[in-house]
Amino acid sequence: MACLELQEALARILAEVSSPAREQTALGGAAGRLAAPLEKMKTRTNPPESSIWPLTDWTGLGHAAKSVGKDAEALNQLILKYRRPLEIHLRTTFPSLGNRAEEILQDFSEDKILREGWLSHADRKRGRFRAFLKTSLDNFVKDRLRRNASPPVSLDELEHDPPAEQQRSDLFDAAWAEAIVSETLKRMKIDCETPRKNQPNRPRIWEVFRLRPARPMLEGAEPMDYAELIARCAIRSPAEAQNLLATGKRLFRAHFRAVIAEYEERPDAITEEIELFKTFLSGLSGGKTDKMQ
Amino acid sequence: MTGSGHSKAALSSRAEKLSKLFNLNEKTPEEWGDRTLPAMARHQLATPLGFDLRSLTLKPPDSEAREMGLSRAAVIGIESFEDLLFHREPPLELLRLAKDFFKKRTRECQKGSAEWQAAYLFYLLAIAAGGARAQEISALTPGDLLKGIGWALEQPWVDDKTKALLCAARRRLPTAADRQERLTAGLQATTRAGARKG
Repeated sequence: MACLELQEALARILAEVSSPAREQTALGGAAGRLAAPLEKMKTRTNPPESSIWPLTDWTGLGHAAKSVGKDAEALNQLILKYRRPLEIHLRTTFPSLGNRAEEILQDFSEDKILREGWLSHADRKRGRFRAFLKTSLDNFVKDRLRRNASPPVSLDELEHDPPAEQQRSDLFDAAWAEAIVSETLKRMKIDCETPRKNQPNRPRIWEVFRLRPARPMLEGAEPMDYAELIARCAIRSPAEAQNLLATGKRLFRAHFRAVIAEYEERPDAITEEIELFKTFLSGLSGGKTDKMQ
Repeated sequence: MTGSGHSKAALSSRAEKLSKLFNLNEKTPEEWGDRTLPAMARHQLATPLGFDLRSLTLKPPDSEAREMGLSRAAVIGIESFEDLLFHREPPLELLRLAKDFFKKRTRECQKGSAEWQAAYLFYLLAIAAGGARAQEISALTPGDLLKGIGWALEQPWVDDKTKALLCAARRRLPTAADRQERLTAGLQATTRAGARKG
């Protein structure tokens, strides 16, 4: 089930980058119960630079913790940004929740994130914020399931057919990697399609990148052949083809690092995070990509 | 295959795809197929001269000379690389520029890649098209040029018209025996001159 979800997620990436950037709205239920400014968030388009992965800004979190109830917009941004990976984690860890995952997350936001004092537990000395969120959510769900079960049952019985912990962790991390790629491609597409003075090639950079490396890597399809590519993208020479491809890959890499930089501040931490994912994905794929550059 | 085996295989496949993207950078070579090289060679032949040659960074007066060369060539119908390379009297200055351009390209491409092979072929062609004046275009030794032409003639993706140009250039090159004879004659002349002085 989780693999089907990942497959659907990758198909969703392709669909998203083949269509105009969509508007994103705040969590309907949570926004409705918060202060008035949040109502405006429902139909606001996320700016291109917003992300599902906020910087683990400990100063910002402290501010949010102190201002719960008074600065709802900051907290709502936090909820928005972590919603999707948490939903994925919920569905893989607690499949019995079924369609209630979003509802549970909304309740979690209100009961936990927005409760005064909760965010103060997010102490940088205790580890990364995302690990803290995941653990906090797990505990919240287990507690909720235990309270709602009748008659009371053991925790093991509450978790319906839970995958082994390593497998859950693998699925979450794979979904996390997918989220990074999705966000990267989305930003790159917006970047390339934004008109810039003296840079008329940018839309073609996106198109060439999508047709050659991206779509084959995501779909496993045959990449578009050279003759078709140059005709479709009006490429005037082999040198131009190579330049467009190299620029596309460079842009992808820049956006990729920028997405990760939103939750890992230091350059060495970004590099480390990338290497960790490379090792993880290589292991999961049976080492088929070990020798890639 | 069991249900869990199928899931593992699917996850492995997805991880492999994600891994490629995580490893992607501007140095990641394109995996072009076998049909690419003929298409790339045809594309290069059809490319307007100015489009590629103007990408070479030149300062005045060389940049101005380039513009004049391109303009003069256009007047006599030389507008593409094909026009230039197969002209009966291709302008030497444009052949020199083309040689410089393709030499630069070979340095920018991963050796052995499709892009590199195409660039190397056109580097050789720019020199070969100079005919008897090939040595005014490049400092490449006759031996190295011969080696390069030999490589190009072995490539199945090089068309017959291009191979004919390369064969004509090869015929004009002194053979190894000719070169050895000249070297020996030169040494003998030097020895006699030295003996007379003594």
